[in-house]
Amino acid sequence: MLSRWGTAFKQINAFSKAHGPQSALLSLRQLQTTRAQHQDQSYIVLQPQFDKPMTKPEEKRPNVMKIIAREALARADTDNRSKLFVRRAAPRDRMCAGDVVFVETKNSTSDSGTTSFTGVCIAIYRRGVDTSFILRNVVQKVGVEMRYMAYSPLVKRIEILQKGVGFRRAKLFYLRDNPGKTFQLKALKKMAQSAASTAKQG
Amino acid sequence: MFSCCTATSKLTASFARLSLRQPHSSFSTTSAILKAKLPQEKIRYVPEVTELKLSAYKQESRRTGVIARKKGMTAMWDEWGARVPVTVLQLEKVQVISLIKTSHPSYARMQIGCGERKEKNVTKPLLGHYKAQGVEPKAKLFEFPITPDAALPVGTEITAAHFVPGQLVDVTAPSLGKGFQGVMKRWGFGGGRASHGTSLAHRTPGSTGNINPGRVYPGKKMPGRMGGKNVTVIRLPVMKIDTALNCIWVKGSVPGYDDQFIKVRDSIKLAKRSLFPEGANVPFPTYIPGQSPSLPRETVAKVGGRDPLVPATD
Repeated sequence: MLSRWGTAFKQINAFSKAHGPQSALLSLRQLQTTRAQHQDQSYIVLQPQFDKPMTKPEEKRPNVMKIIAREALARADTDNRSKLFVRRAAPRDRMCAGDVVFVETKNSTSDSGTTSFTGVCIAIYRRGVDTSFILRNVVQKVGVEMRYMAYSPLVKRIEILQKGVGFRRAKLFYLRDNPGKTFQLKALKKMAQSAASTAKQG
Repeated sequence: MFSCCTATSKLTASFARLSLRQPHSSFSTTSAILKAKLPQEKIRYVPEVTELKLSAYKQESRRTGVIARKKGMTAMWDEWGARVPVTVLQLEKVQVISLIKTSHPSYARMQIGCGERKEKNVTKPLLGHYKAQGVEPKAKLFEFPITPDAALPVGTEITAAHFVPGQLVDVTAPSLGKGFQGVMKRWGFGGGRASHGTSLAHRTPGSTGNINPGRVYPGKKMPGRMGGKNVTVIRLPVMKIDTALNCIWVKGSVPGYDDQFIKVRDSIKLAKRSLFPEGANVPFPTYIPGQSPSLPRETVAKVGGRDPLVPATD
């Protein structure tokens, strides 16, 4: 409960920097009233609500799809995972093809159980809110690929365990036929275990 | 003597003039016959709407549709965490232009306009029509059949809040033009063999008929222009309504290209489904800002049902 308000506050602060402090206060009030009014309605009110569409001051006739994309990303980016997919960030900060990545997903919205998967990232599709990536690992001598939607509410955590070295392509589909030493079980297993243990603690 | 099988108003007027000129007695029988064969006066009905007022929605009522513009597609996640592809349809200055006269009082028609157009680009007849109704020139006009209780006064603006999140809509628009297409793409024919000696007949239609009647039927499926025709996609759920951007997000895809005018109406072919979700406040005849309950900026549909990510126990 508190954490949800906390992230809402973060976004309101970010929003207020762009749009002025008044609107931030208004949106906060809106939050409080809407939660009370619309809990039993036949519709859902998303939190946080953006009272004014997120337009940039230089946009005189803003494009609807751009505004929608911005707002959707602001709402979905609860733990700053968008920094993993920014193209212009330094390679050490963003996810690249070849990195060993650990993903923890919720089994469902009603179930509290989680599933984790570790693998080498072989592809990243940057599509705004629809951004996704593919992780490949060899599990019990069977090659397994998992494609995750980065901003899905079921994806709880994305962590880069190890940066890839020597991968010169954006899409590493050649690893399906020529894996080399990429999927050596021991190293990945250890990393997965350590990541899973930190998840349980966290 | 006079061919009066098609007695139009002009003909009757000319007959009337003739009968006045001649002595009354010689034309008395023919004028009686003419009167007997005159068509009934056209009676046309228009629902009387003076004020914009909310009223109760009944099962038999049919609200007006709306003209929206297809803006593009994105994705959203519903309450169960399942990804839903959506099309964004934006309402741009959608107004009631006129109430159309119909031949029966039980059904009415409304003309809805959308967008804007410069006066210099509007033809004089249309410009006169807009000025008579007291609205600005619109880019697109469409008619929608309604029940008389759903009639709105001319000039009423219809916003995205006219729709209810979770309701079903039918969406009509011309599909993307595909140009001149062959029979396999256009009609789904099987074509011929790819190999084993087939010569020059891999994508052909094959036979076009039988030895009797020895001709090809009109309407035989053949290559031709494909696409660009009106297509209606039915029962698309409205996933989200954005009152600030005046958009409705509709699940799935919608025919046509981006920025095209789309006719959106409440679903008709329901077959025991419910048009509106349970407990929804249906804005009837439309959402009126002063009278209808205020809505937050964005309202999202409750999908409901079972959690699809939890396996069913039974």
